[in-house]
Amino acid sequence: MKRIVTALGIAATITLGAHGAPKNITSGAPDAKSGVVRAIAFDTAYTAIAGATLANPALSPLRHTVSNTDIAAGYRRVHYDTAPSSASGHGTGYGFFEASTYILTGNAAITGHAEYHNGKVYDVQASETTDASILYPYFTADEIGGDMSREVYSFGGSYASGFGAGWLYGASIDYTAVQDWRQVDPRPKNSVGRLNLAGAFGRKFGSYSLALGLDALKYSQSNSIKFVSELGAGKVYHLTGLGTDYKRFAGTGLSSNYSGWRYGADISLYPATEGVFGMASYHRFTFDKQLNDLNRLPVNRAAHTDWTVQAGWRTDNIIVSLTWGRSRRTGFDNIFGDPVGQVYPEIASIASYFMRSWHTGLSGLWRSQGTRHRLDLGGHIDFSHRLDCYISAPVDRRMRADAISYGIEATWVWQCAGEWLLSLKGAADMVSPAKCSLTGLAGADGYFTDMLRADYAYLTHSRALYTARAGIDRLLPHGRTIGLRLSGVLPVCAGDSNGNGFEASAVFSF
Amino acid sequence: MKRRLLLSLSYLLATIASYATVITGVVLDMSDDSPLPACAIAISPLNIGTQTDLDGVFTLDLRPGDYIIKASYVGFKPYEQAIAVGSKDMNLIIRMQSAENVLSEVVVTAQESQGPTSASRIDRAAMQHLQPSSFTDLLELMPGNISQNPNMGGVNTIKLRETGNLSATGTLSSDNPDYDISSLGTLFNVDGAPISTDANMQSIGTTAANGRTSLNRGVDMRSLSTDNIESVEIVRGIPSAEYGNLSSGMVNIKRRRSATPWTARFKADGFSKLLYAGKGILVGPSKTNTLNFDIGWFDSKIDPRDNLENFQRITASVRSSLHWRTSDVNIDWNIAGDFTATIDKSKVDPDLSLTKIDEYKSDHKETSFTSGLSLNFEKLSWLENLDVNFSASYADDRLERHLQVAPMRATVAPSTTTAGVHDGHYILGEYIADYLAEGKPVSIYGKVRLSGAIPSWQGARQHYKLGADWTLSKNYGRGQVYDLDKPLSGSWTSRPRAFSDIPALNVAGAFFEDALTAPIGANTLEVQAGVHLTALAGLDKRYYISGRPYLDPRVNAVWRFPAFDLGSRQAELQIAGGYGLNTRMPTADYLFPQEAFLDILQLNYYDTANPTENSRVNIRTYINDATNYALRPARNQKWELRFGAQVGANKLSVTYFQEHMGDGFRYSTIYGNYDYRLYDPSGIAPGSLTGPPSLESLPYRDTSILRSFRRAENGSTIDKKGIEFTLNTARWKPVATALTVTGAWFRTRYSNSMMLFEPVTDVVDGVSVSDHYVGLYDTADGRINTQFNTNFMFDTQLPRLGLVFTTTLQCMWYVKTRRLTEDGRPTAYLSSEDGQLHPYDDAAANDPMLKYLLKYYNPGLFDTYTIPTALYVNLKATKTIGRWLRVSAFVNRIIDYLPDYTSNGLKVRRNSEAYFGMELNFTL
Amino acid sequence: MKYIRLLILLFTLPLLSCSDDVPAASSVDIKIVVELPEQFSGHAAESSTFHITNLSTGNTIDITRNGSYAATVSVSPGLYTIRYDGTATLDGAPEVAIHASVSSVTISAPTTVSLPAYATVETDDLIISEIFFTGTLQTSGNSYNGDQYFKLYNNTDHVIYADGLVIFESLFLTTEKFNYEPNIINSAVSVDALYAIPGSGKNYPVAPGESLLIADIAIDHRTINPNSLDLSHADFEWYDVSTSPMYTDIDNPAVPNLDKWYCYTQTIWQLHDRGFKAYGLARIPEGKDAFMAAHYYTVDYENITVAGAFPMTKRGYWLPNDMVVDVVNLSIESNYQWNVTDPSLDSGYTYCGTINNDKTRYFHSVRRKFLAKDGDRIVLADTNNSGDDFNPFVVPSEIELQKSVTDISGATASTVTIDGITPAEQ
Repeated sequence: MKRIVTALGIAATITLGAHGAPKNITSGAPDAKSGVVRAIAFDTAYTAIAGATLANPALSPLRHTVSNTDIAAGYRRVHYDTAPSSASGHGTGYGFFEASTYILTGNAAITGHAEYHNGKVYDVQASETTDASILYPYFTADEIGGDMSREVYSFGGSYASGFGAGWLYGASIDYTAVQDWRQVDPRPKNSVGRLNLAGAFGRKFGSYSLALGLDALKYSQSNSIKFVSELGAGKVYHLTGLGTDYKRFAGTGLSSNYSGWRYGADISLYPATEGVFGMASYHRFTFDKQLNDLNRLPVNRAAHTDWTVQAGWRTDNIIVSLTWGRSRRTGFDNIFGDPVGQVYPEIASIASYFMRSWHTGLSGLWRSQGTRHRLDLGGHIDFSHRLDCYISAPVDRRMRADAISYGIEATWVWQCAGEWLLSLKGAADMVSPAKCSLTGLAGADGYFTDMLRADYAYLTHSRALYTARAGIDRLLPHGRTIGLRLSGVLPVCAGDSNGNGFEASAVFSF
Repeated sequence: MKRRLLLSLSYLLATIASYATVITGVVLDMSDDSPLPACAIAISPLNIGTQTDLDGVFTLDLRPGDYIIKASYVGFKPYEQAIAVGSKDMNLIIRMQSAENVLSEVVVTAQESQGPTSASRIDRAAMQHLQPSSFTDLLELMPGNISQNPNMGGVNTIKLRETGNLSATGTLSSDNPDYDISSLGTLFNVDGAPISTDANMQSIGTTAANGRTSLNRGVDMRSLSTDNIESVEIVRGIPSAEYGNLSSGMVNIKRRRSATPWTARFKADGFSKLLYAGKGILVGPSKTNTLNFDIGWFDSKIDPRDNLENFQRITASVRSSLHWRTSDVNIDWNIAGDFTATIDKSKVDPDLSLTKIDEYKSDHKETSFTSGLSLNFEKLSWLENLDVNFSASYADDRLERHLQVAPMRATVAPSTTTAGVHDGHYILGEYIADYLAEGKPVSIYGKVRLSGAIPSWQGARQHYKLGADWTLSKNYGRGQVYDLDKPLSGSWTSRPRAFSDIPALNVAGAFFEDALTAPIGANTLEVQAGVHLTALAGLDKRYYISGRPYLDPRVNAVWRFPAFDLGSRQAELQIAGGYGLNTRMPTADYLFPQEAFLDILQLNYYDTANPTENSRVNIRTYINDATNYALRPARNQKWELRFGAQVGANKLSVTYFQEHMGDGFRYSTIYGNYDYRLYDPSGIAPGSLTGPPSLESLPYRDTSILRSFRRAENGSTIDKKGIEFTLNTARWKPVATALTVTGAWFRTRYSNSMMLFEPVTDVVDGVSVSDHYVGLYDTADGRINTQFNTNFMFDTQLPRLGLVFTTTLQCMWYVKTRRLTEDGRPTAYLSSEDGQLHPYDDAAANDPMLKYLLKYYNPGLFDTYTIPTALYVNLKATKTIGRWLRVSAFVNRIIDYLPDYTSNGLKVRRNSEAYFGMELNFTL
Repeated sequence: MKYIRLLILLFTLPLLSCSDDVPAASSVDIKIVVELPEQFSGHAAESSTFHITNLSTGNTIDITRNGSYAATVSVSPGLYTIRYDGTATLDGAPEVAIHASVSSVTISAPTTVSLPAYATVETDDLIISEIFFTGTLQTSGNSYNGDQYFKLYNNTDHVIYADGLVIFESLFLTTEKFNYEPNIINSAVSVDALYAIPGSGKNYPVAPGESLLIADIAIDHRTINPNSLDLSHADFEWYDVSTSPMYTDIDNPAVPNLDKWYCYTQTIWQLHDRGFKAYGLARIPEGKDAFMAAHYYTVDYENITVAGAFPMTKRGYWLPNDMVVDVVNLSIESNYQWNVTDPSLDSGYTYCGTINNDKTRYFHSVRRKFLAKDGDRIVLADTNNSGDDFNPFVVPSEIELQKSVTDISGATASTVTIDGITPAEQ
């Protein structure tokens, strides 16, 4: 027992207290406070392995075996010396208030969550648009950038239950609003709304539950950039991928607007106790970017499709999953004729940006669980391929970035000295680049082309992320716990440290 | 440590296992007998416990004896039961009752009042669910309104039953001062005393600082916090005769006067942060009197990128209601002391490395005392109540401008305060201009009201109200203080004026109203008829309205049909109607305006050799008294017809209304002919002067020119017409949701009601036409706007989860606006030769200069512009956690449906921005 | 054990199925033909280069086809501006420069694009050598534009009399294009301001290589704005009578005023300080009264705004192209839509600042490029293409001569140049 503890050495973890106990607890067990039972049974690491399958709202009763509610408040910060991507900045730092609840009553499950973040994104260089990972490559950007203040409001909930002879149904709604702004020139102000709606319907077959789910996302973002300084306004560009920009509208279009829709369906199978599980899903996401000053002219639009398949097998203390997925995105430049007044007639819509990617991965977890402790040991290995191209005669730029990523993580939760609950977690994730290439930049210079070279350089380095977390909780009557969490993050790039991060929070659970 | 633990564990197992009896039990939720998994079970005094499993079942091995079994589960009341364990196994069923976080049915919508006049009533619960930042957000619940983003950068004025001023593109343009009477004429009553803004004089020069000050615009709703309000009644129809000096409608606010736990509220949204804390305690020997106190702080950024432009509001209030019971009279005395401060400031960002200074700061600190004494004589029938209201408020308003003025070219600053010819001087280069408008408006209000019963025929009841009120408004501020040599802008046409010189405004009112309720057969007729007299007392005799009484007859009647059964539910029908005349007296600024200064340049000689010594500017100044002694009050004729129906818990009310006001207040330009002497400096040889040139030595010619100044007039017409409807349905059990449909069709015609002078901008051979000829046009200068909107509010209440959420679908089906057709041909023109009006005949139409007075309007301007359907979905949710915390969140326009549309062949695309926020409410 | 084989199979399955099918760029073949004007129909092409610029992506393809007036090229669909610069000869006569251009051509299918060519006409009169329209900044950062001026230059080798030369400003903006009815652009320039140099015909001679300074207000502006200039030595100024104290113009009696024929504004004529108009010189033989009576006209267009299309009218004068001596189109790259004059008068534009309200434009002007020296007389470039003939965004000549302030930080000019770039030998 001790050897395992010392072997881990650095491990400490966040545990979201668990509630309830496995089947037949003998009444003679010493002082079984429900707080301990909940902390042990509410195993998010185990559920995460089958995360893709359990995302289906009708299967939410199978995610956990106990109810749990957390209310946490604290501060979270990570800072990278070299930015993983120039469009998303050098890390974030924000205070947060988060509440999340998972309630099992009978065969129904009700979840709810509410979050408020208030803080900063550090030194974003190549984009003044929020959600760079969703709206690439069509950012509005300038050649200055800087820190961005950020407020995030999000809340949501889901309800799943069954009726009749084994029929299942479930529905969920989630809304996230983000507000970014900067108080020094150039001053963007972005307001983002992401609304997710999902519904599912299924049937129980013996211990297996099979469910068919449909989901939809409405995405909207409006941003406007203001220059106040007397010393001159920077020039605003509308990027079109791989360091290129829409020259005709460079310098104009200070306020733009993104709106998009994402539809998808999935079919998921999950066993109540042990057996095979799996899912297959297809999603299609389209969005366009409009320039408000030119009568909301749609200058760019993109179409994105995702295939994801997961197959796995689980028992009470082992879970293994195999996933693979394919994504394709095609971006279009809308070409306009000669304007008359404010009217720009559209004459063509040319596909010029292409993203082709797929990934395949194997992940597993072994856990040993007693009445007063739980130990999780997990690992994963993935292979991913991604190709980005911008092709518009005479320009033909292509960037390929394949990588193998692998990692292990260990979580230990145990009740010690009667009224206390300790949790330790350690995780190490390594990424080592495979075949990478960047072509078509011969003789090209410019701020955004340099940013592309910097992003490519980061992708060609091997990098890692080491995480260590420690948590201590005081057990209170009626199954409540109150505790502190402290965690440290160490990002590594090409061998040496690439920044730091920590998190400190107080958590009240019941 | 570990060894001791293992030891006690084994001892316990050993003793029990030998001869224990097995207790099995199940824990159920009392409301629907559903099992409660993972419920904590404890046995005292043994101090051992267990859990129920997924099916709510638990098992215990106990030695025979008497124990107490305790079950506890979050959100449910703790359960205790004494059990006697014998030798044979036992079976227990435990039913747990949910804790009191169960929300009783909450009314989250505005309620249509059942009384004779059409009004909307909003209670505490509806306000809490709406999560408002200021009073403005409550208007979303009025029929015909939809939710708007908060606009903290300008004055928020109320508008009832009208579309508001729309621009050509159908967007709301709020700062057209010609139609301020809509908000000026809405009376705000707080705990029986009106908020008086008649003595407010804050302005920059003569303009209301582009919408940032509330000069002549009534109450600024940004300054009204909603956290200490118990209920609000917004009277859209004809108010009772008891209330006077109003033209459109009335807002009656009653504030909380009851014992309440400590309540605290923290709200954050995209624009602002709000904090509030309040407490209500019972005081006095018999614990019947209440004392409420609360403070509120609100800070909002107009644009988060600019942290130097914000609006702050600080409110503090102490309120008490005292009660005495004696044998023949019950006395209730409500007193309150309030302090409200709003600070509205904007400064240019110091991010600039230059010394550009541009600061605007306008703060308003108001302290007020209100008292309402009510004597209730139970024994006397003819005098049931005697109410005496008194309130006094004093405000300290400071509007400061600190501006670095850099004229684009050399401009001339006229700096005398007397008429006649004098020398001005060039403003050369930049200077710092400081401007202060310091107002100290004081308003005192007194009211006496007697009410009682009048004996009437069998079965009928009559009730009368009789009384009088008096409002005094006086401004004691130092007024506008600035250095004439350093005006805020080159074109300065006013002079510093002390507000304390302005005489007080006294509005006297008296009213009599009779309320009759009489059964006619099975129906009942309720009539409320009365008259309100309003007069300005102590005004200079030259004013037409000095001492002239204005009678406002107001009648509201409701005919209720007998109740009848419709299917399984009881149904009632009623028809109501009303007619009323409302009079609004002009404010102090309209009655006692600033003098109008006109400066005409006679000599403009700039000596290039040494400009500071030898240049000379000669100006002729005229001073006009801009007071309009013929100004009349604004009178609004309103009538409405309402049909109400009630079937079980479903209520429907449909109201048709029509209003006409022909004499709203507005400032319009008055042209006149002014003589002056134009000197010709071209004869001066440069460099030959030792000092400024003498006027006598220069050739000149006497000529005359047309100039204008502003004067308050009864020049605005507002015609309102529309249908409002509200439908409240019963809650539909399976989905626990009630639907409320409110909506309205409004048609509002804004135009002027008098002929207007309008200058033209043409220049012919270097001479501008408007210096010599100005046309008088019989113009309509207005718009007809129509809009039709319906709001569907689904309010879903899940008491067991402590969750209330409302999904509101707001549909603006269409907005139409059309400019009234104009005839570009003037009826007459004013000439500068004789200053007289001449008819504009065909000869004038061909005159080389006068032909430019023919204004050309292309017909496209008068087409109707239509904005098609716009749908918005708003979501508001409130979750109660435990007994002391409530987390709420709201998103307006979470989904919108704004189809593109083509207008005149142009494709118009639209989008909207969501407005979101979260809130924590603590009740400890 | 049997599971392992299943796992390996599942693991490798995706490797086979995915290939990166990235489509090739779509392209269209077009043929470009230059149409010669009649007087050059016989000429044979010497050197000829075609510049094909994609307005959306900003990429330009340059191809040379010496000896031919046509070319074929494949481009991606879009909006193009195509220009042709070449020389042509006719049996031994000196080479003639040929230019042709067409702007905003939509190419979405294989077509033939014809380029109307024109020869640059040599005018024998004064030309504009500098326009200082941006004005200066005061120490507080506020703009000050009383110190705008023109410089006219005698680029010929003989004396030219400036008497009666008319300076005009275009009615339309280069950043706002509408369907103007009537569209007279290929026969006349629509103007909204006309100021003529006085004199009876022989009063104001300009020697070859000399220039005239025409200022808005010919005073020493430094008393009002220390960052400004002393223009009291100007040759002419334009003065507008105004009676409203808010806008006063100052007349320096020592400097002769231009004869004001017409101006659209009620108060004072200021040059457009962001440079969205065209300014030029013209000789109007029929004189002021005849011209003013005959050439006033109203142009209608539809201002299509979000609120819908509103029929609008503008009033101005039409100035026949053959009366125009020289014209310079001003615009900015981010908002440029069209030239307000016929390409034969000016087929390019010059600028100060690249974006709208560019605050770095102050203290700068546009100056005509130095071409060659004829003895000690400087010859400036004049190919009727302001884009090629002018140096954009350079320090004004008066600021260089007076060593006055060149930007808001207070730095002063140190070198003196001929055209803003090439230094002048002392």
